[in-house]
Amino acid sequence: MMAFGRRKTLYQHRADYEGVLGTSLEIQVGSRSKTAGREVEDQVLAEIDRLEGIFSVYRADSEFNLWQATRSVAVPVSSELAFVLSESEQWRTESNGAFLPVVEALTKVWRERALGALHDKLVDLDPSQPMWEVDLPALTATRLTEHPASLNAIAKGFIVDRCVEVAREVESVKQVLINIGGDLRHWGVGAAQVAVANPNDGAENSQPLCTVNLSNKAMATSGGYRRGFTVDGQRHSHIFDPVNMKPAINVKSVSCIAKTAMEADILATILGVLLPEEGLAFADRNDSVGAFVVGKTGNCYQNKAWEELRTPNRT
Amino acid sequence: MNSSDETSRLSRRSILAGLVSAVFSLPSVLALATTRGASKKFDTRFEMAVDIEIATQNGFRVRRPYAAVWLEDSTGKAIRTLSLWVQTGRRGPRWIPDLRRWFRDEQARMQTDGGDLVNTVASATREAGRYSFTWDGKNDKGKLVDQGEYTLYIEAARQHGTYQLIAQKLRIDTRPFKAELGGNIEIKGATVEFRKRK
Repeated sequence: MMAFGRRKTLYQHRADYEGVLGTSLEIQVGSRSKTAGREVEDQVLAEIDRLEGIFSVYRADSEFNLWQATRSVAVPVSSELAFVLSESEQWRTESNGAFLPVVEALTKVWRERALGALHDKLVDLDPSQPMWEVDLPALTATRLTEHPASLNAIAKGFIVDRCVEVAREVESVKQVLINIGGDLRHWGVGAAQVAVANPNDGAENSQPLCTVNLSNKAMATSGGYRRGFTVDGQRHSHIFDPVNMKPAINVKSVSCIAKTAMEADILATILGVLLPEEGLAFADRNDSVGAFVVGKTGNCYQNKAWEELRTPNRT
Repeated sequence: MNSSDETSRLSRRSILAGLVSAVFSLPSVLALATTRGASKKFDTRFEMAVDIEIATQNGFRVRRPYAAVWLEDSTGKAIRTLSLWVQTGRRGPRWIPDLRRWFRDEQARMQTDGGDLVNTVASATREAGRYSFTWDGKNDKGKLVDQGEYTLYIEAARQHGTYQLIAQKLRIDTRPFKAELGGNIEIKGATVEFRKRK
């Protein structure tokens, strides 16, 4: 916590929404003016609307979906889409295919099975195959894959980052926290005390697994405990393991801390399909990445960077 | 507190009393339960779960209403707040009297967070508008309560907007139950379940 003499009395503004990107949105602003919080709120909502128009998989007319209707041609795209597509491809290679937006193809099949479809469509995904090619300077993207993709595991983080960017541009804003459905980023003075939800107990008021002091960093969490499919009476995670093409079973929940929400989002997705030890090793490739994993039996694992940010348990 | 406040408070009470009896949906089973073992403590093998769904319009975002979920004992004393959502503005939280019933005499329960530290929750992506709360049988001071009759309140309000209250009487002993609580314009629906702890 920071403690400059004159700075105790920031105006605090908080707003909560439901039905934003299919989930909830929390905005917290600390500023030196009475009106800045409202202005941040307006700008953040406008930015989300703009980016949803680019990345949404639910809107048929989103830039991403229109682009998905093309194949093997270089199509002009917005700088935002070009950047996120390019990062996706880079992380696919870096993670040996653990990060694979085209697992959306499997999601589609399982969604049909959950609705009672009997046929078992064979989806042949090759994680080593490039999904697309992006020319960043020229702002074009060429779709190579035949499979449908979803940018959900990266775009939400990117949107959180963009919201923080527009918020900090507002005059007299000193502190910002944006939390979209559990993925969040803090910027500015002070810190956010972040409680990590227990995957075995979804209640809002249950004891968190641990709490972390987050200052000028982002955190994302991945886990199959809130969303999934029920097929033949059995519940499965909505997260797919690109290696065996089945719902992920290695971990219950993974949280990652990184500089940006986009990176945290990607890392949480990758660690969400790896074994706990593999995941922590992957996170440790970068000193500043914190990782916390709840294994399938409920055992908790954390790396050093995470441990350093942890606050003592309040019991 | 002046006398007109006192009057409005009383009339609100009587409206609430009407509501409480109207919303009764588990009357026979629960109300007829004997008071055997009235001084028995809450059985910690059990827990109560409350699930609520905030009304959203498909595809449109809505501001989350101010809401409070809490329990009162048979004398009408609030014993445990499970959840409280309010909007903050200016310097610190605005503990809005819009949540009328919760606000009644609860100023003492206010907690002031340090100005620098904001609290938030990290989790896998939640479904819009769905929230769950559990009650472990303890009061706000962390002490186990007695078995007996309690009332669950789910209150939702908007500034300059609607005011909604769901009330459900519950008999807490060692018999599980589950009930659907009717929704309203802010809370689409709610369920309460008394069950063996998972």
